[in-house]
Amino acid sequence: MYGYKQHDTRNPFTGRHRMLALRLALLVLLSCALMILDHRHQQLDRLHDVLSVLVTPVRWAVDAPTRAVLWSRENLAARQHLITRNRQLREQNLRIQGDLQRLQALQAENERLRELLQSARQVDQQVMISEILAVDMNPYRHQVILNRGSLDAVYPGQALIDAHGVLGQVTHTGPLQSTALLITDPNHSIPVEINRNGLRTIAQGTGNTSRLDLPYLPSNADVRPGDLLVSSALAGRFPRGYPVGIVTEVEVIPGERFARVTARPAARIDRSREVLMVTRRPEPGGNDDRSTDSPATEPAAPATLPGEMQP
Amino acid sequence: MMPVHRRGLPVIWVSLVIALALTLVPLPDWARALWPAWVTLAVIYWSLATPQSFGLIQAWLAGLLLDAASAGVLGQHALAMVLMAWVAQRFHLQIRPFPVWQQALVLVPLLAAYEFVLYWLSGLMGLTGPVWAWPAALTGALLWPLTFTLLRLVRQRFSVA
Repeated sequence: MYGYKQHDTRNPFTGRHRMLALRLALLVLLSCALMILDHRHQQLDRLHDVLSVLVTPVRWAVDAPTRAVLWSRENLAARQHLITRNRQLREQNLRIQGDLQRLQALQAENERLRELLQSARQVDQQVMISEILAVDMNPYRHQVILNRGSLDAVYPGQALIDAHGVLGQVTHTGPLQSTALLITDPNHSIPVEINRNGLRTIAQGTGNTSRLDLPYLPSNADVRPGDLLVSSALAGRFPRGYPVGIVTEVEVIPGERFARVTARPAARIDRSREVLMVTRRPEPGGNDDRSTDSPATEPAAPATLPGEMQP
Repeated sequence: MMPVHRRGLPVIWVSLVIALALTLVPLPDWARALWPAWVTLAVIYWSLATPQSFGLIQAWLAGLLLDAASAGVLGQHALAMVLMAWVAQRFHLQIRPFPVWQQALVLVPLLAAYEFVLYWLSGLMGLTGPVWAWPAALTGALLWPLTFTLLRLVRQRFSVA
């Protein structure tokens, strides 16, 4: 090529091509090393932090138009609209206050009963409001970027809820922003129990924002469409008792040991912007191990099931 | 004073950051599958146009930034990106004389390979869900003339050598 023979030492390109190939090989090896360190061993916290700070302004810039639209909607709303909205919210607030009074009485009663039974008290929970940035990422992973990071005491494994139910959990924290995995991500599993009878199982994400799968319920399990699934604190990661989903379909296939059960997430997975991050006091004997990136391996149950059940 | 061939670097990096922002723009799901890999297009352009100032290491860094921005595993996009940059730099003398639409044709298999590498690495890491996003390669190639023209204007305006 270029009028020279390939092995001609006078060819000025051969040396350049060799250098290029050498650099390529080194960078490919470096990438592989990074991937192995990051994926298998999660040892790149510092690098993650640095890169996260670098991309923070880009994320803000991408989020800016959405923020501007919301801001203008708030600021340019008609007076009449605001008055109606205000009245609605006041009524809603009154109703919720009423519910809350009953809740406080119930909580006190619950605590008394727990003391009688000498069982552990429920952990105190604190919530912090956070916003999801309108930033798109890998289309096949259900992840979101939140505008709070480790400087706001966000920690990996922190649970994320919206006004309707459990949304997901934090996987990585940067100083100013953090990444959360949603419960509908195909690699996410959350331990749940059926509110009606306390039956415990696992809800897996499907990659579809309106569907969860419950693959580990035996054919004879007492589960019906309409059953509410609430989070169980089994994996020690999600707080107990928040709605996760509502069973939509139960299909019993003759000859199969497990029923095909699907549910609809209770949280508004693709519509929430403001979310709550639930902070828990670490329990004794704690679960303060670093979050693994694939929480699918976290809950104990799937690992103990027969191998044939693994997807 | 920077050496002459380094003076264009800030301009190149600004274009890469803009490409990164374009990648992150929120879109509905159907459009997501067609959204081209903007950073890759920019990296390929600079690798073809100024291989002496835009090296493999910088392509790799751009990929690493993309990994961080997309909250993925570090190294995944970096690896795919450095492969593309290598192809572009190795064959820049052959590809550059082509008219833009023929360059776009060359880009189809190149971008498809880029998406395939990403898909394959996701599979290796045991992620379920990703599919080979080859439609993005077609839209990327379709948008190549636009990218090429814009970036050439930028290159001439700021005389990036």
